[in-house]
Amino acid sequence: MNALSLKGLTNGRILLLVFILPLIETSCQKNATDSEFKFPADFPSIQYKNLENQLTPQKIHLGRVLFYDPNLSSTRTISCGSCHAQVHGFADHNLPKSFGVHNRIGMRNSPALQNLAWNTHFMWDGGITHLDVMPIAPITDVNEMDLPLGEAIERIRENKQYLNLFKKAYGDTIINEKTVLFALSQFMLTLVSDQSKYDDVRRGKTNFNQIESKGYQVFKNHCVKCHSEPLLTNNQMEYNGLTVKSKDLGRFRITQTLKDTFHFKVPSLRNVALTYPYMHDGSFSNLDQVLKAYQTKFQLENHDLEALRAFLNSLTDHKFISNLNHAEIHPFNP
Amino acid sequence: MKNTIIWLSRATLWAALTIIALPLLFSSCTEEEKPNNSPKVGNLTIEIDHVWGMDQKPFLMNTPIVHPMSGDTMTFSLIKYYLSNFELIKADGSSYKVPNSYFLVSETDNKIELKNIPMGEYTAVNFLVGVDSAANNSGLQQGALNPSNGMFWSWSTGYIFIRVEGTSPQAKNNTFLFHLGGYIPPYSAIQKKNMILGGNSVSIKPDAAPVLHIKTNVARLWHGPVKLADVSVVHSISDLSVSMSANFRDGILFDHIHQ
Ligand code: HEC
Ligand code: HEC
Repeated sequence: MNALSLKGLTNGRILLLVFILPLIETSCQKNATDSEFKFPADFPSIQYKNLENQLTPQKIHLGRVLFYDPNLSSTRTISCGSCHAQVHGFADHNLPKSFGVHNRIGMRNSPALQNLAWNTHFMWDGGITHLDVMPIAPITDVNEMDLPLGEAIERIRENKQYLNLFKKAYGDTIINEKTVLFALSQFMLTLVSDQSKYDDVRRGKTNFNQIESKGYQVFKNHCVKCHSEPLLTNNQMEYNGLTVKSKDLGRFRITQTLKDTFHFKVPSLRNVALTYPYMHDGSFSNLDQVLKAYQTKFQLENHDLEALRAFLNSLTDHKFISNLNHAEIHPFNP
Repeated sequence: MKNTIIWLSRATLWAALTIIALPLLFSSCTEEEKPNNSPKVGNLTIEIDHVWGMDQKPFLMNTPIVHPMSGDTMTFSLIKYYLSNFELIKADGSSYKVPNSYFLVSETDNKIELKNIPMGEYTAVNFLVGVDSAANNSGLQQGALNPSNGMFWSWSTGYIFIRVEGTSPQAKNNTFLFHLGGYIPPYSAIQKKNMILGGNSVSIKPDAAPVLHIKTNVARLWHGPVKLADVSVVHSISDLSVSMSANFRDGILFDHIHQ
C-alpha cells in the first residue's frame, strides 16, 4: 500500500468516525434509560468490578430465573432461593444451618443477601473476592447443591425454555459459565436494601422516635467501628468474641495466619430483625441473646439494650422484602 | 427547498459511504497488523514430556510406580497444572511477553502453542508455574482458566495450580490428593521459572515450526522428606504447598529444540 492511499484512508477514517460515533453513543444511552434499576445515589460507589457486565432488565430477569431454578442442584430440589428467602432478607428460613440436597447440613448459617454490589469479600470468612464466581461455591458444595459447574451449565442448555431468555439478554443463545454467572450477578446486584426507616431518617424524610434515637447513639458509640454506616458493615473480617470457639476457624481457613483465627466477616445489620438465627454458626436464636452478649462486652445498661433493639428494628426494609422484582419466579411451570 | 434536497442527498451519500466503508475500517486494521510482503512474526510449540525421577523413567498413569526417594508406590489417576505468563528472551536481554498465555497441562494435553511471536533468536523462556495473582482475583475467566476445568477453589477465590491425585498403599486411606495453590504471600505458591535454552537459541520466523521440548519430572513434587505416610492430602494454602510447588518447578527442565 503506498503512502498516499494510506493517508487518504486515515483521513476518511477520521471523518467516518465522527459520523459513526454519535450513532454508537445514542444507542448506549438508550440502553441506559431502558434499565429501570439504579444504585442509590447517597451510598458509596459500588465495589463490583466488571465493566463487561452492564446491567440490563433482560439480564437481571434471566439472573432471577436462574436464582430460583432448582435444576441447579443435583437432586433438582434446591435453588439459591431455598436458602436465601426474600421474606428473611434473603437469609435462610430461620435455620441455624441450611439444608442442602439430601437434607445435608452445611457448615455455616446462610447469610442475608443485600447490597452485594458494595461487598469486597463474600462468605463468612471472606474467602471469595468476586461476586461473579460466588455462585460456584453453593452450586458445587456437596452440602448445598452438589453439582459440578459444567453439569449445571449443561442442564441450563438442555432446558430449551431458557433459549429465549438468553437470546433476549445477550442477543444470542450462547449458554456458558460466563453468560450464566454474569446474569446471576446482575440479579444479585439489584438486591439493594435502602428503604428502611433508618434510611428515611438519613435522608431527612422522617425522624427517629426517642428510643430509636437513643439506640442510634449507643450504636454509634459501640458498633459502627465494625457495622459502619450506611451499609452497616466495614466489609472486614473481625472477632466479636461472642461465639463459642469451634472447629470453624473463620478467616484462618483462608489466610492460615494465626491472628485471623475466629475472625468472621462483619455482617450488615440491615434487616437484622428478619435474619435470625445469628452469627456464622446460627448459635444465637434471637436478637435479645445477641444484645445480652454485647452488653457484657461493652458494659451496656439494660435501657441501652432496649434502645439498641428499637434502633435495629428501624433497619427493616419492608419495601425490599416485598419488592416484586425480587420475588420467586418459575416461568417454565405456569 | 433546494438546500434540503442537497442536504438529504448528502446524508444519503454519507450513509451509503458509511455502509461501504465500515467493513473497510475493520479490514484495514487487520491488514496493518501483518503487512503482506514480510510478516515479522512466527510461532513456537512447547512440548512437555512427563518423566519419573532423575533418570527420566517414563511417567505412567494408572500404573503403580515407585517413588525413587520415598519408596512409596503411587498410582496416578490425575495430574494437571498451570503454566502461564510466557516470556521469550533474546541474547541481548530484550524480551517478548506473550499476552494472555495461560495453559492447563496434563500428561495428554502436553503441547503449548505460542503464536505471533516477533521474529528473532531467543535464548531463554520464562514462565510461571501457576497463575498470576491478578488472574486469580479478577472474577470469572474463560479458556484454560474456566472454573469448570476442576482447577478452581470454589470456597476461596483462586486457582489450584498443581493438582495430582491417585492411590498408594502407603497413604492414609490408600489415596493421595495434592491440590497446590494460593497467591497471597507468605503462602504464594506461584513459582517463576527461568529456563535457559542450554546455550542454544530457538529461531522464531514465519513459515517455521520450531518445537521446544521440555521435561517435567513429576517425582520431584515429593523431593526431600515428604512421604505419603506423613502427608497424603493437601488442599489449601500451606508451607508445604509452597515448597512442593517450588520443587515441582525445579523439576521442569529444558531438553532440546527441534528447529
Ligand atoms: C444449601 C443452602 C444454600 C444454597 C442452596 C445457596 N446458598 Fe448461598 N450461602 C449459603 C451459606 C451457608 C453461605 C455462607 C457460606 C460460608 O460463609 O461458608 C452462603 C453465602 C452466599 C453468598 C455470600 C454472601 C455474603 O455476604 O458473604 C452469596 C452471594 C450467596 N450465598 C449466593 C448464592 C447463590 C447465587 C446461590 C445459588 C447458586 C446460593 N447462594 C445457594 C447457603 C446457601
Ligand atoms: C469488633 C467488631 C464488631 C463490633 C464493635 C460489633 N460487632 Fe456485631 N458483629 C461483628 C462480627 C465479626 C459479627 C459476626 C460474628 C460471627 O459470625 O461469629 C457480628 C455479628 C453481629 C450480629 C449478628 C448479625 C447476623 O446477621 O448474624 C449482630 C446483631 C451484631 N453483630 C450487632 C452488633 C451491635 C449491636 C454492636 C454494638 C453494640 C456490635 N455488633 C458491635 C463485629 C462487631
